[in-house]
Amino acid sequence: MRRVYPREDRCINCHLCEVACIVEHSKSKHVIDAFHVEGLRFNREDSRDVIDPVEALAIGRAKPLNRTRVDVVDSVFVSTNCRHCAEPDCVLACKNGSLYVNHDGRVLVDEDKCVGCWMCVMACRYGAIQRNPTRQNVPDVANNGINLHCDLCPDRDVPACVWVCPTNALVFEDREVA
Amino acid sequence: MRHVIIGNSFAGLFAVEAIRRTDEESEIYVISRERQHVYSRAMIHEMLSGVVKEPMVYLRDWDFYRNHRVHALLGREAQSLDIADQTLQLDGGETLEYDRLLIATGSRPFVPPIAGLEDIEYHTFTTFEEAKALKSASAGQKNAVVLGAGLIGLQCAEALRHLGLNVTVVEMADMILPQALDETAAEIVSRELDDEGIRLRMGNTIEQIHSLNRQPTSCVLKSGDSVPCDVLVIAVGVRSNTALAKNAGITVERGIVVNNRMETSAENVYAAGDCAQGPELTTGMTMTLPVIPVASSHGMIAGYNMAGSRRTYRGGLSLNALQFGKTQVVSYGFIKDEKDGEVLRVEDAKRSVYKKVIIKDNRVTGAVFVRDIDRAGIYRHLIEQKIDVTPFKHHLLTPHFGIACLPAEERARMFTTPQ
Repeated sequence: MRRVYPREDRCINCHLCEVACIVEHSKSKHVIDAFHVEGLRFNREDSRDVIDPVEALAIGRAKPLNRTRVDVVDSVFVSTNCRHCAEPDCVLACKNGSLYVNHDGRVLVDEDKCVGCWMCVMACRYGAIQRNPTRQNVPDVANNGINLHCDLCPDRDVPACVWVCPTNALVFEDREVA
Repeated sequence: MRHVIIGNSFAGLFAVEAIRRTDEESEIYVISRERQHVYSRAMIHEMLSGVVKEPMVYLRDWDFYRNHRVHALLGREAQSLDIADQTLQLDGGETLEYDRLLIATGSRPFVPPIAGLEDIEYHTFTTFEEAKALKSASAGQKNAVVLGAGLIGLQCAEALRHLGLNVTVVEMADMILPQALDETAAEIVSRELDDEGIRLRMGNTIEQIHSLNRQPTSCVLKSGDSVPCDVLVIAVGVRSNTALAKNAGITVERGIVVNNRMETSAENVYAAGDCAQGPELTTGMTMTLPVIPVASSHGMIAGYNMAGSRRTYRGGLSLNALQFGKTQVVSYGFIKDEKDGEVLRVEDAKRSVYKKVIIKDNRVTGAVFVRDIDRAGIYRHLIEQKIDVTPFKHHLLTPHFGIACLPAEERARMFTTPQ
């Protein structure tokens, strides 16, 4: 199965992968409309002074919906997202079976079933799962939302992050298990 | 080849899936005392409070058994096991032979003796049926008392409060969730429960239950005061269901003892989930770990080995993700065990944010996150892989802590090959 792999030595910390991810999963699929009409933002913007994505949305801050994330410390830049593991820890932990391995190998979430218990956030060792506050399946429970992670862009031949990357720091390949 | 699985929750489910991934042909039987389609016991409090629709508690689609060609014997019970003949005696006198057997019988609530308890209909809260019984019993009632402030007790209390009852939780320890949290995290969650109107009576217990016509009327506490009570829920803890294995002569301690392939002391008999006492990762000892990810992993490893594909389990870790009101908590390992360890801590009382890691011999052995839980799973990786944190210790618990902080060879292991 083809997966997205980062190449750290090529990443220039431009965050275009995050932009492309947001746009691809937006309603308009248009970059300016996604940010200025739909009000989407990078997840990281909120984490500076608003802890919770739900809290952010409640005070009208932003809708952080990038599923890929450039992780930066000192001179290390690495774009990370869901590994679509063969035996995913998130699926083993999901408390009501809303995460599953699709027939094509992608790890997906049933967006109508997820109750936002965050067992997946607890389980994922790659830190690849976000909390999407714009969907609520348990409206009476505060600070909910649902699982948000990479879906490998089902409407595209190559995921948007890989397609947009100006330095080929992300590749979409079928690799052998080490 | 015939696989027989006793138990129809996480361990049994992941065993079925692992067996079928390896072996299309074998017969699979699933036996469960409960009649329900495979469901999550971790959803019953949400079912009780009515915040979720019933289909959301089922772990797989309705055609799961058919698609996996499973003979599902639901509402049936395995009464005894003969490990020499490799047979199970079912209720109704039927005998079922097996080639490989998985015991995934889970756990049951422990009910302590209390004066007056035998005179009433009390409730426990671990199954679908128990949740439904509690729902109908609490309709139109005013006062509920929950004995035990563990996860089950508090989730039940929150659901009853959501239904509009006055809820009092009585706990013998001086903190809530003593198994999963430390004092600071427990304090934050306690405040949340207070805000919801749940009364917590810590360091206390029920001495005497007064009743009328099998209905409780009040509970007298050790402290001497009396709490009105129309509905009583006992949630002081669970015990592994080990009788079937023990009576068959299989080695049982706190749970059914298994090795890292989930094999019990009897040939061709495996155990998984809450009833199994398997390897733990940070201590190297075996123990029961009644949490979902451990049960699922046990089941999956057992399933592969039953189907002849040899797999070993690296060991379980106590993992918890809890949510009360608007407070989420994630915890890993034994977070109260701070002796001979270095403790890193971040506290922001105003926003109820609290994070802590315990480091021993340069390895993280436990961690807890309150409210700021995003990407906490990376700490799980540090614990499970026993990664030396010396080179990046100054980044731990900072807002920017992430994959880029890990050693280059670790990043390469995680992000350059299929996982």
